[in-house]
Amino acid sequence: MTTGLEVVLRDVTHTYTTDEVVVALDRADLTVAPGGSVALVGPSGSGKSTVLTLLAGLQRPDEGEVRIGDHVVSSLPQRRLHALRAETVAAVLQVPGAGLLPWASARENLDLVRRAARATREGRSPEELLARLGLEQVADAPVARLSGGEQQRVALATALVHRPSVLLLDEPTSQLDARSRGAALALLREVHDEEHATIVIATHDREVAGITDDVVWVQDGRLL
Amino acid sequence: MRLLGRALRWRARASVATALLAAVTVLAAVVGPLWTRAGSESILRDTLVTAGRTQDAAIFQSQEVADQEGLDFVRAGATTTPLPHYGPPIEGIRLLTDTQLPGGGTLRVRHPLLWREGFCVHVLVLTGRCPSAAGEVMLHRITAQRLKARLGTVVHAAYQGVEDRFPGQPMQERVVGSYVLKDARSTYWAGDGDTAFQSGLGGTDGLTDLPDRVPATLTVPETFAALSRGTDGDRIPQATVSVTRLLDVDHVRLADVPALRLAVERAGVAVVAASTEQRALVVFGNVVFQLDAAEADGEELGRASTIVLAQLVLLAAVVLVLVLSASGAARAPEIAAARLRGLRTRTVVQLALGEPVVLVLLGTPLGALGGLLLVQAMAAARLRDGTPVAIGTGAVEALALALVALLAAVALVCGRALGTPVLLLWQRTDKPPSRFALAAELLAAVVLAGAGYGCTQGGSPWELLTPVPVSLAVALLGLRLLPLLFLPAVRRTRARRNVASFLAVRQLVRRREGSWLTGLLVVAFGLAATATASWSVANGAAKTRARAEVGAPVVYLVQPDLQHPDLDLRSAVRAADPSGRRAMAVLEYLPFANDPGGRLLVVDSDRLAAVTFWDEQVQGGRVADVVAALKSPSGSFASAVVTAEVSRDPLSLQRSDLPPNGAVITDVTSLRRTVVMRKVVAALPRGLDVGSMMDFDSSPAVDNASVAALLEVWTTTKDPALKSSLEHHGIQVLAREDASGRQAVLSRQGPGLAVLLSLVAAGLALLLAAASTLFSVLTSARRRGWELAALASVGVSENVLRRSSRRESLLLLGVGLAMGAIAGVIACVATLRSIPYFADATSVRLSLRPDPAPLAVLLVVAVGLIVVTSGLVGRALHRAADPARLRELQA
Repeated sequence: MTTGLEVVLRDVTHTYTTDEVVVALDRADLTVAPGGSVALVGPSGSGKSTVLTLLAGLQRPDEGEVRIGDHVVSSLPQRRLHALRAETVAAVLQVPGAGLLPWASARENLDLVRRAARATREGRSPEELLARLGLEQVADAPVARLSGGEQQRVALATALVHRPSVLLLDEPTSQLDARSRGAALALLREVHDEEHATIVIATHDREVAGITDDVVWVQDGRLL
Repeated sequence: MRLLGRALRWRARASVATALLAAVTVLAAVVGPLWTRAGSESILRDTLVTAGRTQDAAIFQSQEVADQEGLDFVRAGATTTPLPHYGPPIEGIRLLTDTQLPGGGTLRVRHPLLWREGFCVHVLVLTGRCPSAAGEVMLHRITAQRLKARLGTVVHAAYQGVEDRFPGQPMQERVVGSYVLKDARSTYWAGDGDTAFQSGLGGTDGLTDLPDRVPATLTVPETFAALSRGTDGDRIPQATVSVTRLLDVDHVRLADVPALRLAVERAGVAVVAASTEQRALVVFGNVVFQLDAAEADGEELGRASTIVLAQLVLLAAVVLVLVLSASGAARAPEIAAARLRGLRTRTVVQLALGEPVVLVLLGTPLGALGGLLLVQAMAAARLRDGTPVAIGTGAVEALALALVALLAAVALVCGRALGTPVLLLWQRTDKPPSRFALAAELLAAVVLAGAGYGCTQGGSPWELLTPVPVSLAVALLGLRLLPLLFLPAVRRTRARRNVASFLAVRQLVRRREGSWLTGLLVVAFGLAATATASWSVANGAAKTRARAEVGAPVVYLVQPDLQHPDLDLRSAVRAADPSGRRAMAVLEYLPFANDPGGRLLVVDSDRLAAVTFWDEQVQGGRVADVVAALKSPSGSFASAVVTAEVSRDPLSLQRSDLPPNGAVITDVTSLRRTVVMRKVVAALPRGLDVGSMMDFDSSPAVDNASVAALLEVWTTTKDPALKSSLEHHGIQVLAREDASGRQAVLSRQGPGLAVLLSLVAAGLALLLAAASTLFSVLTSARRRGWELAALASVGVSENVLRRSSRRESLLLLGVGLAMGAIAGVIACVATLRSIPYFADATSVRLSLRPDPAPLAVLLVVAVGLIVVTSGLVGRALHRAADPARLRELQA
């Protein structure tokens, strides 16, 4: 049984510097209770994806603290971050193919993630996941050859296969048809309701936001 | 491993390209040591063979009583120290003798009385037999003719210097045969071939009243024994007793040199130890000097090879690092994915390093094998026949070093990807270069230009390094100017709605990877242009020098055959070649000692223009003028063409005999002839910058059978029919020299081999540039293809896309070619005059202007390469631009 962890952003500021300085998050605060779920909604460029990448430890905030359970992600060394992502936190990024090995099949991608998990926790059956998400027919094809929707479902399966305590999802159903979206959301509900995983979803989709306990509006880098 | 195999197959073409580039890097690293070793072997054997028997042999000599005791003493000295690669001892006795017929008046000839172990098989017995008992002698044909001696004739011989101390002087000797040498150049005659068989008039200065010198008279050791005791019964050393050990040149290898050198030095020490106050044993032979010369030439080749190959290795390494970087960039999202999923560090490292390491490990043996095959092919084409291509420690070290460097490059490049934040690994755009980077590049260009100039001033072999810094400087400057140059074209093509050209030009201005590709091509083509020009000049120089030194395509050393002892060489050659265009009789008179008149060539001037190599630039005059000068009448004098060197130092002028025109010199090569200088040239054929030439008709006093002339037939061909015709007309061919063989020997000297290597290296660099262009396109095809596919999806036609891709590649490579040509011209102007083309100095005037034909071939090859590469690049991009693959390419 998965046990969710508390997710906290405290007074987080993050900027991107290209030709000019862009403030992606400005003194943002967010707390998601263990086993809770929250949907981040807001216009494009408002800072939703930044919240997720900070929580996943893919970048560090300029200021403030990011914490998952007892782990202060914002100051965790890379090695421990890897371990955290392998065992506790799973992320599905906006471009689903970005989290997958393009030349490996869906089944191989899932196997790799299962093998990476260092905890003794029993993972999900890849076959079951692939079946639930309607991927049995394409399970052995290189994921680069799959459609965007198929890749998105593979990415979701990859995120769920090791039963993470925290699930970070960036537009997880943006490329799915109605049927696939239904299957994906049902699976997420199950993860949330039965396994009590903490879920943070960035989405524009009201139906996706509907499965979460809470909705946070993100505007100009502020969480409202 | 299964996943690794899958990844390698997924990027099959890029994987093959990476493995091949690793192979080329290894090949470049091992070719140098392999070529240096093979070249040094060839140089060693060429040096020993060219130096000749006298230089290579070890000749132990002592002034001894010519009896068994004297022979034993010298033999003991010669065999005390083992001499590896030297043949068995050949004993010999030599004594300078004056011989005359009894009652022959004042007719007296001077010659060495000679015995040499086993001599009978090395001579052609013209009449009679070889001597077998004391007092029996065999005369050379010239001696027999001079003395008018026949079989059974008894001659009187007086030994020089000690006549009064020996009883029975002059001694009576019975002529039992006459002979000529089978081959005067045979190694058997080492130490005697050059001097014992010479003939000439009078003494060395041609003025003293000394007997004429004739070739050696052969006898047996017992003949000398009569002189072993003096009038007082004491033993008086009077003969030169020698033991000759001949070097087995064909079996001396580079690895044998240290032992050989040591043995020869030890032999020298042993000889000193064997000598006493009364008996001085000495050893002659210059093999150590030859070994030193070969070693110096080999080391020069080694240095030059290192410099040439260092450029290629550097180029290959740069390409490989760029390729690995590009490959790393292509794999960066995968590494990012692995890190996002929290895969174990070992797995991530395997993902990052696995592919390139496997490809490097696959490419390494391929490169080593390729290097070996390449050097074998080069050796077969250029080096002395039978030269082994051995894998020495140098090649193994180079291989190991290359492998370590490749793995280090892999670790460096992949390590960077492992240390880069995950999100950055997904980024696809490069940062524009900072102002500091631009300033640094400008500074680097200036420094490189200075380095290029420094290389031209650095002496051999640093000149060979010049093309790379010069090309890099041109590339750096050119590439920064390129966007500025093409920016107006971007605006123009956009305004004219020329989509294909706009896309091509825009891409050229925008893409940074295009810059390094163009830079690479600039360096490669600059290197290729310089190397081709150097190779062309080196070939031309070797050809010019060989032609000048040999004189004609083929030169036969001949003598009259047994049936025609009184042969008129010119008439015989004219009869053998009635066309007058294929063969010419020549007498070559060698100078005695330091005769300032040099050599004399007596030629059949009617055939001179047709048969001789006559290069107006080398010879410094027109052949028609020379022929006219040779044929012009000079009264009772001979008309001669002399070299400038001789004309500056006329000898013993007979002022009273001065003809109305022309200066006069006399005593040309001891002929006691007064000649009129009709024309002065810079050099005569056979590499004579000190010498003179006259026609057979102008030298009626020349008796080609009785004086020290080499009888030669110069021909334009090796045609066996012509040789048969010469033999049919009484001319026996003793030896052959040909210009092509001489050219091959000159081309095999260290500098020539280095230039050839630089040409091969440049060819590899061009291939490298083309291959890396392809690789770059293949690695970026998915991303570029996605862009093009996006354009296709919004309605840009297939033709436009195809034209755009092709034009982009053509522009990219064409600009590289043009800048490379500029770099090549600069490097050629800077280096062609300073590159050494031979290991030794030559007085032959050489043209340092490259032949345009090879450069034209290079241009055609380069353009062909560009067209083919552009076609492949265009095809790859076009294929990748299928809108149906958009979803795949997004991944």
